Amino acid sequence: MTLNSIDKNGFDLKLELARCLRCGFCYDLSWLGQYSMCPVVDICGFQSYGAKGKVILSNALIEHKLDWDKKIAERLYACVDCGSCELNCAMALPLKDIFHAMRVDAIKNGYSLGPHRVLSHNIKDTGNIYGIDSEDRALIAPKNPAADAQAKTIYFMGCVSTYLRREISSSTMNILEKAGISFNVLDEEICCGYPLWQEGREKEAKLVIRKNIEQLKKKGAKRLIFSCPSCYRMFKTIIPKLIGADAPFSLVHTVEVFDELLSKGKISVKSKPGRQLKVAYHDPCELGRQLGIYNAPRSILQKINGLQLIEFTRSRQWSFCCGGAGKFMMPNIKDFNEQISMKRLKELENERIDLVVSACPSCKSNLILGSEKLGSSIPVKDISELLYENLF
Amino acid sequence: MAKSLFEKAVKGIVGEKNISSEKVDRIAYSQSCTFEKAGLPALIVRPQSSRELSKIFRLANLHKKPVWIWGRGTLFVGSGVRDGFTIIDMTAMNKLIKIDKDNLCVTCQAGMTWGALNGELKKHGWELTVQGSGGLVSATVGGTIASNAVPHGLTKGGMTAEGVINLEVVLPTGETVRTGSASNPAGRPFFRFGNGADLTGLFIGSCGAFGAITEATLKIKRVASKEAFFCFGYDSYKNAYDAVKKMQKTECARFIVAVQGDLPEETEAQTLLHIILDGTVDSVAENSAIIEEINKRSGGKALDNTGTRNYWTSHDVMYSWLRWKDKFQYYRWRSSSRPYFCPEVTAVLPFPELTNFTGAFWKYWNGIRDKREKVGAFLKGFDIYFARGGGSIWIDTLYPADDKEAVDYGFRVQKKLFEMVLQYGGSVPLIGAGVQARYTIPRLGAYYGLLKTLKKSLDPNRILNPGVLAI
Repeated sequence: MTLNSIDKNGFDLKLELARCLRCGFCYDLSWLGQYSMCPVVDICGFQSYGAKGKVILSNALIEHKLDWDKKIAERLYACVDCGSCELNCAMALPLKDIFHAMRVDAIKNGYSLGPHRVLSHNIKDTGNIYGIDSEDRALIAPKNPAADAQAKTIYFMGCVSTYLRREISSSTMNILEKAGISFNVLDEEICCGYPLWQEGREKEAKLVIRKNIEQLKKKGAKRLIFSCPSCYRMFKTIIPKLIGADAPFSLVHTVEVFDELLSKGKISVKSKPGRQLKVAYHDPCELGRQLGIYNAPRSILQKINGLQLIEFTRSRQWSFCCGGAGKFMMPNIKDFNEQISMKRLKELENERIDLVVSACPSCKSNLILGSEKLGSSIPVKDISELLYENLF
Repeated sequence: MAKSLFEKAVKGIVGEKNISSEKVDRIAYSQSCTFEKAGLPALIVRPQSSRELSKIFRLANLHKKPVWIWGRGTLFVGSGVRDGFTIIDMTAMNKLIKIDKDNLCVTCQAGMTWGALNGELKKHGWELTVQGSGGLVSATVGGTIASNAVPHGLTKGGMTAEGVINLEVVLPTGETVRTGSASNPAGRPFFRFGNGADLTGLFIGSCGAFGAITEATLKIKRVASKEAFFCFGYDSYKNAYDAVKKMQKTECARFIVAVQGDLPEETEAQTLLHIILDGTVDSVAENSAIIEEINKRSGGKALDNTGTRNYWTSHDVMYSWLRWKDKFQYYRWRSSSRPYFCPEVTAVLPFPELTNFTGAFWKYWNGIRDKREKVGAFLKGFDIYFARGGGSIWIDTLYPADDKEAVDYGFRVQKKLFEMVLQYGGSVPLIGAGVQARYTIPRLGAYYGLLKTLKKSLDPNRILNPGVLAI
């Protein structure tokens, strides 16, 4: 689907754009206080950065009042795809689909921003977003402590947990091993294709999807476990749209697995008499708003002894992006991801928090960045690390 | 494109980050909530303080450049942005300045949204006495005061104006003034009617013709300990209005809304009356008994109050609930099939003219059935927010936006309804720079003359929001 077209499901982009009320609900989370909903508008201010402005720009493109140029592309890519605008749109406009269609059109018209091109070249050349070749991968990636060649369950590590946040994949594999789950990893796991799709490179995204599915089938995979909510979303909701069929595996995020293991007593946590750890849980946009998983991580935290769960002012579906996605998406906005991360953490300034926890490798990285910038000593962990530390 | 001297000078005031002449930005500010087409502004500026705004106004006078104050662009009644205007986006001035619990008021910058202000107050157990914009929680405080919007809670709290204590305003010539008790340099904002004329009132509803509101001090109250909600169905709007008049005399309700037009299929009522009250446990019990008695005697049938409760308590304050539809459904329903143009008509009318106008409206609307069916028009809502006396009507008729004949017809219906409003002695609270201004203000004789005199005196170069109030 591209601009000025109706896709096979009858989605009429022009009609959807014309339905916008321009009410600005897409910016606000105001009933909770002085908070913005859209992280990009929060930092950049001008209306063209928000959903309402982007809808006006899309209309202008369709009506040929504007032609593609670098400035439009910059505005268009100034989006973390956090989904908050769509959640609160008074007209229920499919804003994520609209903006994706615009990005596909941007690519068709040759407007790809520099850092995005680097990312797509890295994926094309090496199979991962960092451009690390496969020989080095073998050295860097955490080893599966209980590799089972016959296992039907595959732990799909994702680029960030493979190369940058290896403590997350290590903890996850250790927990799975403790629970006695037979699982394996892919020796040559490649990027799920999400960054390519997000940029609007659908053709290239389909290629990596097919490679991954082929590899997974060869491995005999029936079930995939993800640490990265973006990889999970890619397999669960984006692949069916792109290739017209569900990925042929059962799909699950680690928080769902961990919660089930705890509930069934397959793993158990240490008792911590006297401990009073105040833990704030940050809902990742991809896991929460995009996939609707809110309860499992909270359930895990409530089962760990000596923890008190603290909610951010903006939590669950109203959670505010940590800015993690901005690292790749918004090269033209200086320090975007740092600024957003600091805003997110400042929400906790009236609480005496001991630890911030999330369930997304990119969120962890970015929250650490914000915490450092704020000079905070509050540690940030992934829920897999926290759980593993607390297991018998 | 070469930057003008004016642009360079403004950039010197606000800094590079807060100014844009990029087409991509100018287009994004060329459309507000209204259907009426606006022009393409030349420059977008985001001042960070009254001081910066004051300097910009002085420059605008020097260069004879028209400027347009932009809150969130949520006004439905016609944009006055024309080609070449400079847009002053006030949303960077959005700080909560002080909650003054001793003097029962809050001061904030004009670019803060109503929803955000109430949200901050509620964290401390307080709320505004006047609940802000009747339409959108995303509207700014400054924009809503400048429009004197009809708020939720009108019955007890009154118009937006009645919640305003003091203002800080930058005049078109660049001077900054504080009104009421805050006009004393050693004073504080807490009392509206000090030091002579009520200059606070001069700027309320002026649509930015006389100055740009930069700060506002508003009345606050403790969040009530108890709330109650009622919904009554009436076979006739006359009986419903009679019940309202009786309730108004007892001051039992915080808010009374009548809904006509597209009503839920489950009810056979012609009018739904939603009633919201709050107070102490005892006062709510007492007033609930009064409300039940009055409505029973007036022929009202008690109905499920879930929609009433959701309307008042949900953060989104959506009209869907008033029609027993889920959140947002009011907007998404029917309109989902094609985009519609809504030439809104808002007016306040006293009793008995309100009753007479309602009868005349239905007669007119039913009389144009053939034509409106031909163009595919329908009535989305005919609602009345009741005031202390009389009420404020909202008539939302919809026309297919992609059909020129239908749109033209919509404008004709709108004009006819405004004519009827004036004929029945009503006045129009939301004016802006569109059809409301053009149809109503020039008919007001000496009043119109005074508005023009004031404009000429305060804004001799007509640089600020030219065209609003038809002046």
